[in-house]
Amino acid sequence: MRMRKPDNEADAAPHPGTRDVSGSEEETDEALAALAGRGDTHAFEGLLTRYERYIYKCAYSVASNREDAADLAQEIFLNLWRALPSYRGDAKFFTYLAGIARNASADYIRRQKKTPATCPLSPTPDDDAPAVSEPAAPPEDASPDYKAEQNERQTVLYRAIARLSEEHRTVLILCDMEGYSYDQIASVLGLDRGTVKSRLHRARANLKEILEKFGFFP
Amino acid sequence: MKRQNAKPCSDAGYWEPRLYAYAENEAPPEERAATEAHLKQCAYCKAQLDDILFMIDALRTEPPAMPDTLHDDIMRRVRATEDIPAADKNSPAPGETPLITMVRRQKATEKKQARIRLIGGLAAACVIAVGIWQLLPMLSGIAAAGSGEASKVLTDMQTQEAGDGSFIGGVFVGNTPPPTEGHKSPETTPETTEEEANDSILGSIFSIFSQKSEHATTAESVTEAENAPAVIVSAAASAEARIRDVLDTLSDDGILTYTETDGTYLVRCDGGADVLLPELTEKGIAMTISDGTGEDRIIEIRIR
Repeated sequence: MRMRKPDNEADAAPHPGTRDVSGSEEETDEALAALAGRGDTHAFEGLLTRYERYIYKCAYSVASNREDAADLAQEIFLNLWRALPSYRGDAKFFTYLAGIARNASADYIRRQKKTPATCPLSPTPDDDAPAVSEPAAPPEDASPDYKAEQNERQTVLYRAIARLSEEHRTVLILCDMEGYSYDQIASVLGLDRGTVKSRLHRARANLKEILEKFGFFP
Repeated sequence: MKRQNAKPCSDAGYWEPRLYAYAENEAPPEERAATEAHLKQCAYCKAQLDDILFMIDALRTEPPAMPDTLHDDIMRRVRATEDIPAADKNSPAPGETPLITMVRRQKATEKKQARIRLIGGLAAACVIAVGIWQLLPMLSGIAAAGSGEASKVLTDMQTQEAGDGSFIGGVFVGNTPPPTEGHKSPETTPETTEEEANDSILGSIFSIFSQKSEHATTAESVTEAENAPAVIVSAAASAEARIRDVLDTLSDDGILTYTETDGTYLVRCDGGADVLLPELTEKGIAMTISDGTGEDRIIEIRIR
């Protein structure tokens, strides 16, 4: 089992202000968003690079298959691009992006006519075990058994993540899946470090409860 | 050992956060030692820790592979002409000063209001035309009989139409007509009025006027009712919170503007009259107008 590294040793994670294809490494999300809102595609690409994996994972937790998740992620970023001219910078960019992702996810669910149980905004805890869906790609050199097990585990995991509240899901994905440190998450979400820690603890505890219902644990 | 098979820990609530901290390598040395000591003697918490580690490991291993082309696909669409962000009407254009932005927005609002008035006017014309068409059989009856209640109804209608009433965007705005001798107050003969208003557009119009008269009568105890401008909103409302919604609707339609301070609304109508203290009544909102002449008037906002 891998143990989490202390904050200062966190894996090299994409972090606002430290990884930016636009070359403006010191730019904050909000500054890039302002530039992108004026039509600067370079700045927009910087935001895309920072958050594409996060958004894709959120989309995957909603869509449960790679193709739809990619479509949904694309829709979210295009909606962001269209909406950025009206972004005033009075809220954290991440909050703004999360709102757009939330709306696009809700639209997607409506289109798919799925039950609200899969909607990250209105989870239904009493829902039965997760439906089988297209698995994500396992490592190419993995054995067939490992691949099958991994796929199944991942499917159940993402179904469970989709049932978390938005704030819990956000910190969980940023920290446990994207490798952001507490300080980095606090910066992105505009929270203090203690709030991030306690929120993450609750998110994990809730996720564990859901996973227990799904029979996830050996 | 599966947790279900272990005897539940009596201090599970105490240990749970410590197990997460232990799993995350974040526990201080003393706490870490204490946790390890507890784990040696508590199978339940040991099973809990195993589950936590299993879950965290699952979260961190092999996330769903993001399609390689996703980034480029998005940027291609972003760069495509059709996806370049449309100039937001409310956003300042590059190089635009705040003053110019404000003026541009104001002009856009005026244009919108003009469109709404035009549509409202057309709607009013349609309603009146349909009303007259509906009235034709009644007119024949009047001509034949030459007397009776129908005549009074017609008189009332004509009087009320002369009362400067009009529909604006589904909202009736107009002055309450001064009571005439021929007008039958709904308080005195409500059933007759209802019957005559049956199932016709004309009936609807008449019904609205009747309601307004009723309200004006009630409001006389507050101030003068005659010639009080009235606004009738065709929207459902029943709570005080709707006052702002109604005012917003009217404001959007260009009928009035308002400001709110600590629950007190200052409403300004065309002509500059101030309207004070909207009150929620049984059927809508009533406001007193002070136009500075010393003659207060009533404005009614009826919500159906």
